[in-house]
Amino acid sequence: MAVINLRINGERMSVDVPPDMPLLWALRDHLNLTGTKYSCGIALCGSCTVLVDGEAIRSCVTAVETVGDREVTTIEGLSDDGDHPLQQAWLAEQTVQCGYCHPGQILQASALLEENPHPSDEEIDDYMAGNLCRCGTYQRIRKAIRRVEEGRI
Amino acid sequence: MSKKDLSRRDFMKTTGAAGAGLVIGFHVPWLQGCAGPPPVPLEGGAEPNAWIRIDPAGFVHVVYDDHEMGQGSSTGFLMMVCDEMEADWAKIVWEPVPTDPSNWVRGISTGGSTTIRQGWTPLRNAAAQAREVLKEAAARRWGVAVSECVAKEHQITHETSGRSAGYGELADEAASLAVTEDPPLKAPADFWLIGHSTDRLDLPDKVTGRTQFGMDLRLPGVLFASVSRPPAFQGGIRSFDDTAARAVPGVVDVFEVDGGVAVVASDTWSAFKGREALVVDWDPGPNADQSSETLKARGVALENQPGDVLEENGNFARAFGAAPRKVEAAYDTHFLDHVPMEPLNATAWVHDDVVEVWCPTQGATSGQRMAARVAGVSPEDVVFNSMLAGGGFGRRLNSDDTEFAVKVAMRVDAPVQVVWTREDTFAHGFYRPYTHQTMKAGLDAEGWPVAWLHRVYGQGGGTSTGGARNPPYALPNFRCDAHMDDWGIPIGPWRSVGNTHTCFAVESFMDECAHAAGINPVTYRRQLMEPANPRLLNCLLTAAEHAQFGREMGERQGQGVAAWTCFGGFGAMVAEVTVGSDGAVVVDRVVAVMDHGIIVNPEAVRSQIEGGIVLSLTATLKSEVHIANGAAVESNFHDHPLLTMGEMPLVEVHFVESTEPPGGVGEPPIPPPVPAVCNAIFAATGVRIRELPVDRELLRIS
Repeated sequence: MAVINLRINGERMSVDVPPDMPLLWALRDHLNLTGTKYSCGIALCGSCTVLVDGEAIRSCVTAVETVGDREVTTIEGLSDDGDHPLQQAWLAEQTVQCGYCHPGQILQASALLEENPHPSDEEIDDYMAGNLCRCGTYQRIRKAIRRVEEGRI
Repeated sequence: MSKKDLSRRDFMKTTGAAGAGLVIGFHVPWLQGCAGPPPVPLEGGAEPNAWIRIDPAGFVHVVYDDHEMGQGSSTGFLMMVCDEMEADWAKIVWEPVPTDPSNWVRGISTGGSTTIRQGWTPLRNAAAQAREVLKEAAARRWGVAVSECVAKEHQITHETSGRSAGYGELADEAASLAVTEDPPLKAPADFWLIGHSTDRLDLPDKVTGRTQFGMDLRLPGVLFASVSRPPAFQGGIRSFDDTAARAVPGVVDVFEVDGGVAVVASDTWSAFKGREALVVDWDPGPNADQSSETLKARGVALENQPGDVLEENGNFARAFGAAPRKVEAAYDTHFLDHVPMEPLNATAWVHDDVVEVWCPTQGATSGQRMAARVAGVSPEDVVFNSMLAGGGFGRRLNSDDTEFAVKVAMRVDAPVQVVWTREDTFAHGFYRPYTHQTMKAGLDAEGWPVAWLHRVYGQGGGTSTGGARNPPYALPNFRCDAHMDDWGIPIGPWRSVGNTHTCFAVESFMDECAHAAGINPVTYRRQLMEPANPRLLNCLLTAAEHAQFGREMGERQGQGVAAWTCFGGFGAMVAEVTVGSDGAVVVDRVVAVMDHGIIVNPEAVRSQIEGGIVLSLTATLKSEVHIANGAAVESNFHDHPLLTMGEMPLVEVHFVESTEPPGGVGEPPIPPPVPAVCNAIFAATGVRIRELPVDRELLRIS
């Protein structure tokens, strides 16, 4: 066990956990930030996606000790009150069904637009390829991203 | 007890009190899931199992036993109440599923695409009762005729005198009056909310991470557990060594429960680590030699053996023997796991003579009974909290999530959350069963069927055969029979149940017959569907029109069509594919025409159709679950990939305008894409796909 200091959603936090514990479980079980989801555990589905210094990473395979002083953004910290353009676009397109994968989808999309504000359809598909949705909301996710890209919020 | 607790008894206690407002209790009969309309009530009786309450502040609380797992029906049924009651949408309150289903008139369970269609008349009737009795209360207060009072926008107005009173203000007075048994219901033309797309109430919290799914519950002092279970179905535990597991930091306890070894820890990760460190000598059980190949061999061996007759009209054997042309084919579908994105989980706490469970489920009644059975208490002593579920698709109708949570909680002096790994969820499913389906048709000189056989080899009755006995065509000398084996593999309803695979066989074979007859597949279906199924025929012809079925396609491109009806919904789809020289299949477009009767929330229903097609394409093109050594082979998304965004075709959904009562929505879009895509592959390549998922090696030309 080791005390590990983190910067999460603009706050300093610390956890006392085994250093190889994935960030996912430190967030969920020790910091009560349950918006980040467990689904596959081996970086194949994207449900656990968070931003680390703006980059979308899979928290289920990221040891908490490797995060260091970098800023972690989870779905809880993406906006103060659900007013991030992507969250608004997600609602405008009524994108969500069960909703379990969508914190990861939204964070992945935010990293995409940060990196590439005007992606082509193919670039959207490529960037989002690792985020699975069993309810099949892909068509609406694409439209929601396009909405933000075009400033229609 | 949970703060959210709203057991039936407590609800009645609260609402029975003076000043609680107006309560309308009513009965919603349970539908038989697989039947088309009209739905068949399984239980009679009129004891209330749903309530509408208008509190003195004017909020309308609706208690209706619908589990929300992403399908959106929770918004839909509230829209029905709101519209009929002439209420303000902002004042409608969605109440949680009751926590004590023990003396519920029917089992609380959400499946079979029933929430909206079973509630359609009873919910509106109760809302109309409330509306009418509020009018009467206002009329009495003002000393005017009821007929002069109008209900609109959450208030009653007496137009001649200009007086008005809000619903909340009138609720207590209305509560002292008798309600009309059969109030007038609104005509569809007067609906202002039903049929108008309305934002789903569950979505705002789902985009901010505030939604609490079952796995997100964090009770004070909660422990976490992982249960290692025998990999083979019906396998067992010979012995285990927990020395290494106990040495994992955070592990609190390790013990055997019936059916597995549980590792309890201070967090989920430590429980998983401890569980990985277990050394277990598994007993492979009686099915160690079982594989997908052995099951298939058993199915193939029975192809020509008559099975138990499910339906017979005329004499198949004689007509088939005499037919000038014969077409025969057999189709294989493998097991399917539901793969909800939220792996199975449940939290249980045995305390103060109560067994309390929190579970993301589709079936509160079965969950409560399971908890009672495992704990050895009566169902009344189980408080069952239904949590929002991250997908269900039929998997969460089983209560094995609750079963293992209670088994572990019985040994732990704290609340405990039992989390299944993705691998656990694949290994211990209640799968759509494997089927081997034999189809035979005798055709007359012009190519029309004069004899038709559908033989299903599978397990478990309707889970295997659903949809086979009543295809949507008039087929002379029709016989449907079945061989139900027992492999000891757990099976269960998978979104659209038997129809997922029987539609694949029927609609692929229909295409084979049309091709053998040299007749356009739409024309062929039309001829056979015409007298039998006008609503489906309309979908078929409209889909063909929208997709310009039969238009010129490029090299190795093709269109395929399929139509099906199940769970009270009707749908026809045209798929367009491009098959690469390497055999890779790209689905470019799916045109769907759906008839669901009156559609309560069109955008939410459209989303269900789009998503249903994605689920179906995964089963067609990507993955199914195979068996080896008596166990499931696929274990995670590396060997069971799901369709990704880039593989998503353009999906166009068209609805048939209808004044028929609502039909099911969740399941009807699932069956048609499978044969539509396979028929399109045939049109593109000349290769028939008779086993899923599609084997690209069959299609490779380079």
